[in-house]
This record gives sequence, C-alpha cells and structure tokens, in this order.
Amino acid sequence: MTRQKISRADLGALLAKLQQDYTVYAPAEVAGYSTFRPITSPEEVDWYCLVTRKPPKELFFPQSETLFEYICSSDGLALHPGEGVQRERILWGVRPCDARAMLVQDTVFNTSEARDVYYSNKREHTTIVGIGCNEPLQTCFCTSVGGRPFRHEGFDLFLTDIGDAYLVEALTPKGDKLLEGSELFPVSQADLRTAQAVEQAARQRLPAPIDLEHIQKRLQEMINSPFWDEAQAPCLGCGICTFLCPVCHCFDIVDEPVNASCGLRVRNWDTCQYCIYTLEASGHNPRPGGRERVRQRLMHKFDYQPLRQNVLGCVGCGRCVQLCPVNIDIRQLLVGIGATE
Amino acid sequence: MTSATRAPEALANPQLNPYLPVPMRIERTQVETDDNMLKSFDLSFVHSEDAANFRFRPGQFCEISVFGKGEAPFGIASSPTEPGPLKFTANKIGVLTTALHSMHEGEILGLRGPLGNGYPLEKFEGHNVVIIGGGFAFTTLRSLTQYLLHPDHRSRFRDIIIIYGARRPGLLLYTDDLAAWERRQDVQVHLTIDQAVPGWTKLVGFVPDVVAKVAPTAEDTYAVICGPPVMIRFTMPKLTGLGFPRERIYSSLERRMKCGIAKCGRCNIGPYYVCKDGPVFSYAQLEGLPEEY
Repeated sequence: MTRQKISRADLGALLAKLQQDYTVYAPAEVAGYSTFRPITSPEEVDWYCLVTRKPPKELFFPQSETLFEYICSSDGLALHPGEGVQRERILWGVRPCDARAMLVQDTVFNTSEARDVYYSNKREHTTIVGIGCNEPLQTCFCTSVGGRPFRHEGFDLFLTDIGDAYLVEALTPKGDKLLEGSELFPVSQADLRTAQAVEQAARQRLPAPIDLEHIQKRLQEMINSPFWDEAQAPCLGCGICTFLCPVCHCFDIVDEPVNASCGLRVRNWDTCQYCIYTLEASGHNPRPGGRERVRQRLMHKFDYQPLRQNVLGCVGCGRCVQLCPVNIDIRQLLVGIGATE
Repeated sequence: MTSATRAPEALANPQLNPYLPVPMRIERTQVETDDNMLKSFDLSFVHSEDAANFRFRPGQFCEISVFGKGEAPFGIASSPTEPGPLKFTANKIGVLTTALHSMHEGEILGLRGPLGNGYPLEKFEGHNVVIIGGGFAFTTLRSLTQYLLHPDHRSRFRDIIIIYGARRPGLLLYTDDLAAWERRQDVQVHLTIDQAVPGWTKLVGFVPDVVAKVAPTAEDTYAVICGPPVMIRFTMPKLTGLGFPRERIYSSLERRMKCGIAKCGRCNIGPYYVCKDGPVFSYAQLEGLPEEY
C-alpha cells in the first residue's frame, strides 16, 4: 500500500476508534516517565517520547510472568498455564530500533524447535504501529549498528510526522485493517519532499556506521585482553543496561509457593551482569568477576548473536547509555574494542 | 472486530508448551555414598502417554521440578537399554536438592526433557572408548556404560576402558554396577581412591596419574571425561600426551540452567548453549572460547 496522509486530529480520532476493538498500548506517563501502557484516551499518548524508559519488549516478555499454577496431590499434578491473550492488542508508537529488537527476540523465543508459546501468543495477537524518529537524541546510535530512524521492518503500520499531518503507510494486512474507514488523503509532492527532508535531518543527527565485522573479529581475539579489566572497573553490576535493553532476553524461573502443595511458577527478567546469575550451588562460578560479565554482555551482542542467530544483539536505542549510573557508554566500549591491538 | 480470543490450546499442552513438566512418581530412592550426600531417585511416569513420548540417549538430561523450590537440571543416569523407571542421582548441595533428598517413595516430581545432545554414539561406533570419571560426575557415564555394554550394542564398539576415581571407597557411585562390570571380560575397569585405606585392594592415586599409568592407546580411541574441573584440568595434558587429539576428547559440562531450551540465556559458553548444543562437547569445540565452565 502506498503512503497516504492523515491529519493530526483524524489520527487521534482513529486511535479512539481503535480502542473500541483493541487494547491499545502506547508511550504514556507513568510515575514521571514515559513507558508503554494501556491507554484510555488518545490524549494520554506521549507522541514525542523517542526512548521509553522500559522497552516495549515487556508487552511480549513481561518483567514478571506466571508460567503456570501448580497443584500437587498424592494422585498427581495439575498445571494451569493461564488463558493467553483475550483481546487483540495494538502497540502504538513503537520506534524503529525497538521494532528491530523485537525481531531479534523472535529469533530467541519463536524458534521452530522450541516455541515459547507465552511469547508467540502475545506476538500473534498484537498489531504494531511504528513512528519514525524526527529528532534522534544524543544517546541514539541506530545508524552505527545498521539501523535507520525511519526503518519500516517489523511494523504493520508506519507513521511519519510531517508537521501538520502524518504520512501513514500500511505494511501488512493487519496494518490495512487498522485504517479501514479512516479519512485519508492522497500525498502531494510537497508532502513527500517534507518527509524526505525530515528523514534527512534525522540521519544527520546520527553517527556514522561502525565496522561491525572488525568489532566481531577483535572480540574473538581479545578474550584474555586487559581491556576487559579496564572496561569493568567502573561497573557496579547493577544490571540496568540489560534489564532496559530491548534485545536482552535473559530470565530466571522461580517457584512462588502459596502453601505446601500449590503455588506459581514464574519467570522474571534476569541479567548476565549479576554475580549470582551463573553461580552454582557448589559455589563454583564460571563467570566469577566483572571482567567476565562485562565481556559476556559485549560478546553476546556483537559476536555470539551474529554467529548463532545471524542478527546483532544491539539496536542502538541508547537506553544503556542514558541510564547507566556510572556513565559506561557502549559506544565508547566499541571504539575501544575496535582500537585494541 | 471484537476480538476476544480463545485460550490457546498450546499453553496447556506439554507437547507444545516446553515449560510444562510432566508428573513423575518416585518409585525408589537409594543413598549412594557413605556421607549420605548422593542419593538416587528412580522415577516413573504417572501417565503412560508421557512415558511413550519419552525417548532419550545417554548423556541427555532433564529439568526436575521439586514444586515449591523450582527446577534444576540432572543428567539421566539410567540407560535407554534399561526398562523401567528413569534414574537420577542428586548431590545434596542447595535448596532444591536438599528438599529433593527429603522426599519419599510415592511422592510426585515434575520432569521436562529429555534435553541436550547426548554422547556422540555414532562417532564412537567401531572405535575404542575410554570413560574417565571422578567423584559424583559419573551419572551420565553410568548411562553411557550400560548402553555400550548392552548385548544389542557391545559388538558395535571395540575395547571399552573405565577409569573411575573417588576420594575414598564409600564415595564411589553405583557400586553394584561397578562390581558387575568388573566381573565382565569385555570391559576393563580401573577403580581408584585418593589415599590407601585398609581393605582396599584396587588402585590408589589421582585420576590423572591413573590415566597415565593405564595409558590407553589413543589410536582409534575416543575419550569421555567427566569430573570436577581440577581433575579435568590435570587429566587433559595426560590424554594429549598419550596422543589423543582434542577432537576425540569429549566431556559433559555442567552450568547453572533454567529453561533448558536455549532461551533464558545463562548457560552459554561462547556461542554455544550448554543446555541445547551440549551438555556434551569435544574439547576441539571449546578451543578459543572463554573458559566459562
């Protein structure tokens, strides 16, 4: 489907109409910052938030999720895994970096040999509406790692803000469905020129691509490099870089007993940056120090995931740069890795 | 579109939802060591259809649920050639295994599996196999040995040598099986303890030294080595000294695990997940990767 135009007011009306049939999640304020949450009115949407505090991954892979309720008896075992998604969902206002991260998570959870049905159930019942980034932040670096501020991959519908209106482009049948019955206008040459100028201006704010093949080769060669001692020195091991990373998918599974015979089995986000993550009951820890843990984070994103899943484990959203309490900047680490001998 | 969707069948189906364990009944427990720390659990499937769906090979493992405490991975100690319950042997070392040790015959556990790759039996075929074990890391080696020695399979393999060491006699696992293997003519069994004790008539010394003394030929031979990291570290040079290439030395690795299906992230060694690509690796595969095991 080609691009069409929708006025700001009509887009708000469209969103209000969609809420009748879907649960709509959009960036909206919670406790002073913007994050994806169900909205009750289009007025709640934060249209200008580029990087939500928590990434939209939590809509498919919640921070905490019950896998099942268990009830044990002397006769056997009853498991109740829950109902799955009950109402179709729209994830509105997702940025291209976060959509790219969802495609990476698909390669972890949606594999043919062991399909994560909790994840895929939510994924199947969600329509994703993207929006391009007119004014990337200082911490944004999608273009360094192969992304673009107006990349369309992973979306059902894509919006481009051209000032007084939006260009709207349905990319899948699910996206077409959202636009049914909306008042859309043809796009003029002037509109296309505006969109082009917006995209160009956005790209100019973003850094140049980095040589990812060189980074990967260096990582494989520098396992024992003193670089990692220096890289980990300021790290507190708080794990925020991985919790808030839209790509990171690690989790823990724990039982939360209600009583001796029943309880919940729950999975929670976990992080390779914690000492306890790999600590075994014997006391042995295969990654005993910050050096091994910081190395794991970088190698997983820039070597292991490319090798294993043929995708990069970083999309350049910059959350880890924004929120690290000691200002560790993955962009600088990559420069450092590239420059090691 | 009013789009209330039905609860997907997949969530409730253990064949489609890889996180759902199936119920197992404890048939029998047996304390294996004189310090009471190692205990074997023979588990049978509560539902016959679960038993029918369960096909495994030596070296694979399962996630066992002790409900209320969680799940942990255990190698399958019984062999696919042994009819009846599955055997697992647990060291009482953490919260889950302590709870497991206090469970009794008739009680219900959960099981997910079989998981992992297992030993490369096709590669071993037509070759000699040297099995080297230390301490309580003999569980899947028991499965492997029983498989290799079974009348249906023994002729597919050449010489089989077992070298198994423990700190003292009371810490050797599966003593009945060891005695049965010692009585056979078609397998060499070398049992060793760290220090001599009265009544012990077999070998004395650490596993690496016994490997050097037994000196199995490296020609047409695969070695499988499982044990504490310190034993492996000192045995590896003995094996390479005997001429074993890293491609023909296999080990079954242990890591803390949760999902068992390469999703939760924690058990990777380089680009490999121990739960899915392992737990059995050749040392050639591990070369050049961080030594995170």
